[in-house]
Amino acid sequence: MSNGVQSILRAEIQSGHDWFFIGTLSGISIFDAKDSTFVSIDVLETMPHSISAMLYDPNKQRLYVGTSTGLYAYSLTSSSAVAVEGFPLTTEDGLESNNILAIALDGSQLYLGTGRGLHKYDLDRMDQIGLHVLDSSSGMPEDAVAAIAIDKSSSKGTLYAGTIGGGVAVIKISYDVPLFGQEWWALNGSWAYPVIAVICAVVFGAIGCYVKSRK
Amino acid sequence: MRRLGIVVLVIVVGLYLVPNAVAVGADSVEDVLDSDDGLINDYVNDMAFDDDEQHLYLGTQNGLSVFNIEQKEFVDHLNFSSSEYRNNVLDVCTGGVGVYLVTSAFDYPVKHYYRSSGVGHLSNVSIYRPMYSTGLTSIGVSQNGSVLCVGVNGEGILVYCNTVLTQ
Repeated sequence: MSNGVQSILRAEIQSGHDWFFIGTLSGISIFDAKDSTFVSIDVLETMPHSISAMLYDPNKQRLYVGTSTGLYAYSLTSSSAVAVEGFPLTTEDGLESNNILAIALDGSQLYLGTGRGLHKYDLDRMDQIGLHVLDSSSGMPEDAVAAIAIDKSSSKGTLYAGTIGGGVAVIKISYDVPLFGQEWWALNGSWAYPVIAVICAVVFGAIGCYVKSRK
Repeated sequence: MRRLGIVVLVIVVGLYLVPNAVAVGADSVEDVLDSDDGLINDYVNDMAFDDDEQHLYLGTQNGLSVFNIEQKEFVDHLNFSSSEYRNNVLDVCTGGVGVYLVTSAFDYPVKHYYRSSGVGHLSNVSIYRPMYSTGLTSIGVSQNGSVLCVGVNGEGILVYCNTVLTQ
């Protein structure tokens, strides 16, 4: 295992045991702080990637691993890790960049900070589209997002995205669900919506106006 | 003919307006906090929440800024050296009492920050940098703050248990 340590994550996998996941230039070592011993999980130790970010979801008992070649996910127990189907997420799945710099989770919404914007990925609909990107073309001060923090105490949901060179973007999290499936999105949040909705209602007899997502 | 004209008009107006619309389910940028608002530096390396204090800690290339979520203002700024090169905060984590930082400060790169009576305090953790040939990169702390784990590029990890330092 490489001594080039790039990132550290603490998580409680077993009750009373704080595990430190040590992300290196080639794989992940695990150190059990209670027993002061290394825990060996082959699948993680042999990852041929530089580990830039990690996140543990205690509800799904899943470890997300950000690398320079995309996002990997493993179902984790105290003695094994199994790759989750559908991962890794890469540019072939719609990411603008494979370089994952930061990971955060809000319910089933996974946020990825990359060199080319903040990606929101819906884990419940991962076989469909469910991928949105915020970058400098949509109000972000810079494309590269190096850190993410989510204020879960707030009722409305606020995400802070730390950028490289542009400070912090304060982002309002949307919990709206599209009516017609994940590919079709109602025009909303814009002054254009009521105008288009009225025109569509007159011309087509439709309730509103929907467009197909580009992603 | 008139109906066709209306349809064409709708399409033209739609093509103009659609790119400006926001899809349901998409998030939106409400505000940007940068050096004009008091952020110590616009290059943000890492962030961490303190749920009890309702503070967001921002590690930047020129020190640490502390942002109060409720008041929506920066309440503290800290750096460690007159040399900007030595003020880089590479990693931030919360645990135990306060926040731990890995910095580029020369003598004592690992620092502990906490607030008491509304005042921010910064102290050195006794991990001395010249023991290691290359830079510290990352840090984690156990829930009760009794164990620090510090990543060193090229040297593995340092495990810091209370006052005992082992490698």
